[in-house]
Amino acid sequence: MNKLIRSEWIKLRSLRTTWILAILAILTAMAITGAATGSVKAGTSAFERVDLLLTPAPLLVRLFILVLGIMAFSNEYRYGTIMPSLAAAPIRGELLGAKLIVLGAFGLILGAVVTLASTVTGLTVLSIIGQPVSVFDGEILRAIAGTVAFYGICAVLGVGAGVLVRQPTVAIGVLMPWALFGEKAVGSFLPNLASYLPFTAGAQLYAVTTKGEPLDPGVGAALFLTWTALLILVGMVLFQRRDVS
Amino acid sequence: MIEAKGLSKRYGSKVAVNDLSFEVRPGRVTGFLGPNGSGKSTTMRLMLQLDHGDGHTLFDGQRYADIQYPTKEVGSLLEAHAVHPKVTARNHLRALAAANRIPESRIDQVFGLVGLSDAADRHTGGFSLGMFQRLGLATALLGDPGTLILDEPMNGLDPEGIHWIRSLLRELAADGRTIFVSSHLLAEMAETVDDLVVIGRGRLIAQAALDDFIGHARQGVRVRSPQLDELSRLLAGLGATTALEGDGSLMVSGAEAPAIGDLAAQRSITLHELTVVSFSLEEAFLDATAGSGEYVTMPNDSVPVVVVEEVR
Repeated sequence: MNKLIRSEWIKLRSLRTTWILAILAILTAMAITGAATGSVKAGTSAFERVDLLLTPAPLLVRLFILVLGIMAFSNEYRYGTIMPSLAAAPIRGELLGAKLIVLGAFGLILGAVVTLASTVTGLTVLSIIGQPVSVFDGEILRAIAGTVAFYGICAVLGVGAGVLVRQPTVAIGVLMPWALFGEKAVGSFLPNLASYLPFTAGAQLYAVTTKGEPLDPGVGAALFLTWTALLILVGMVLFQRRDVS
Repeated sequence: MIEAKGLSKRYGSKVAVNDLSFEVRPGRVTGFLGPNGSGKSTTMRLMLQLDHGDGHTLFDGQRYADIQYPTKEVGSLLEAHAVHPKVTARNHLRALAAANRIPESRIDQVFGLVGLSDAADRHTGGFSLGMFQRLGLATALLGDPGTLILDEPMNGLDPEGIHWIRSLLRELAADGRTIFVSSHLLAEMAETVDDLVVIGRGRLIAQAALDDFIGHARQGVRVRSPQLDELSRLLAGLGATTALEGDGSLMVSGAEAPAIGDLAAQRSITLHELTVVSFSLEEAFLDATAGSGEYVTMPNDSVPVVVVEEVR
C-alpha cells in the first residue's frame, strides 16, 4: 500500500493544477475572511465577530478542494491513464484506497494552511478595526479544527464523486452547484430534511456554536462522513465491476 | 510463457472474444494478428484483467492481478496516448515506477533505451504520435519485465522508427523474454515475428510458427495465353484448379510451372507468361481469415472496412 501512496502522491504533486487550486483556495479564504471581518461594526457581539471570522470562507473554499478530489480520479479516465495505473496496481480497491488516503491527507494539510491563513487574516483585520477577539476558547478552537476536518472530508468526497461519474466535467458540473446552493434550494422546500443533507450537516463541523441548529457538531460530522462513505462505497462497487475501457 | 485459456468477452449480444486459447513462448516474438475490430485489444485487456470476461491468462503460472509487482513481470503498452498532457514524461514514469518499487535510476535507462532522453522533462501534451509510442514502450520496459504485451506499437512510427522497434523486439526476445505484439500491419510482422496467433471476429484462426503459417498457404502459377480456355480445360484434367483473374491471366494451383510449360508445349499452346507466385503473409492471412467471414466490422462501427485496404 505504501508504494501506491507514494505513486499517488507523485501524480498529485506533479500537476501544476494541484498547486494552482491550493493557492486559489488559500487566497480565496483570506479574501473572504478579510472582507467579512472588515464589515464588522462597533457594537457587534463577540459571538458574531467569531462567526464572521470562521464561517464565510468554507462555503467557497470547499469548491477548490472538491475539484482537487474529483480530478484525482476522473482525470485518469479522461486521459486514459487508468490503464497503466491499473496495470501497475491491478487490485482496484488498493488503487482507490491509496488515492483516498493521499487526497484525504492533502485535503487536511491544505485545509490547515487555508484555515490558518484565513484566521490570521481575520484576526489581524479585527484588531486593526478595534474589534479584537480571542480564539483561545474551547468552542472556537473546536470549530477551527472542524474546518480542517471538513476540508479533508471534501477532498475524499470529491474522489468518490470522480470514481462514480468518471467524467470530470460531469462530476464538477453536478457537485459544484449542489455544494454551493443545491442544498439551500432543497431546504427552502423541505426545511426539516435539509439539515441532514451532506454539506449542510458537514457545516456543523465549522459552525461556531449550535445556536438553534437542529444538529450538534458531532452528529453533523457523522452524517457528512456517512454520506461521503456511501458515495465512495457506490463508486467502489462500480469501479470493481466496470471494464477499464 | 503466457497461457491464455478460454478468453471470452461479450458486449450485450455481440461477442467480441470467443473462447480464445493460445500460448506464447519465451525467447520468441509472437505476433497477434487480426483485422481492426477482430478483438485484439479486448483480448489484451482481458489478459491483464483490466476488463471483465470469462477465461483466464497465466503469466509463468500466475494470474496478472496475483503478481506482487506486476510491471516487473509483465510490461504492457495498450494505449500510447494514456498520459496526462500536463505531466512531464519523467513524472509519468516516476508515478508508475513508484507503484511497483522500481528504482528511479531505471527511468533514465528506459528513456535512453527508447530514444526519448531529450524529451523526458517536457509535458507530453506536445508529443507526436511517434513520441507517444516511444513513451508507451518506455512504460512497458520500466520494470525490466520478462514478458511484454504490446498493442500496435508500430502505429504512427516512421519507417526508421519501425525498423528500430523491430530490432528492439528481436533483441528483447533474444534475451529470453516472452514478447506478444499485436498488429494489423501484416507486412511488418512478417519481418519481426517467429510465431503467430491469428484471430478473426474474436476467434482463433491459427496459432503457428510463421514459416508454417505461410507454408500452408496456397502457392500458384500465373499463366497468360491466347488459348486460355483450352489450357484451363487441360489443367483441370490434371487435377489442378484454375481461376481466371481480373486482368485476364489464369491463376493455377495444384500444378507446378514446368508441368504447365510442358503441357502447353505438347499441345502447341502459346504461352505469354508463366510466373510462379508465392503468396505473402498478407495473402496467407487473408486466406485464413476469409473463411471466418472477416473483412468487416469495428465494434460500434457499422461501416465495413475492407482488410485489403489496410494491408497495402
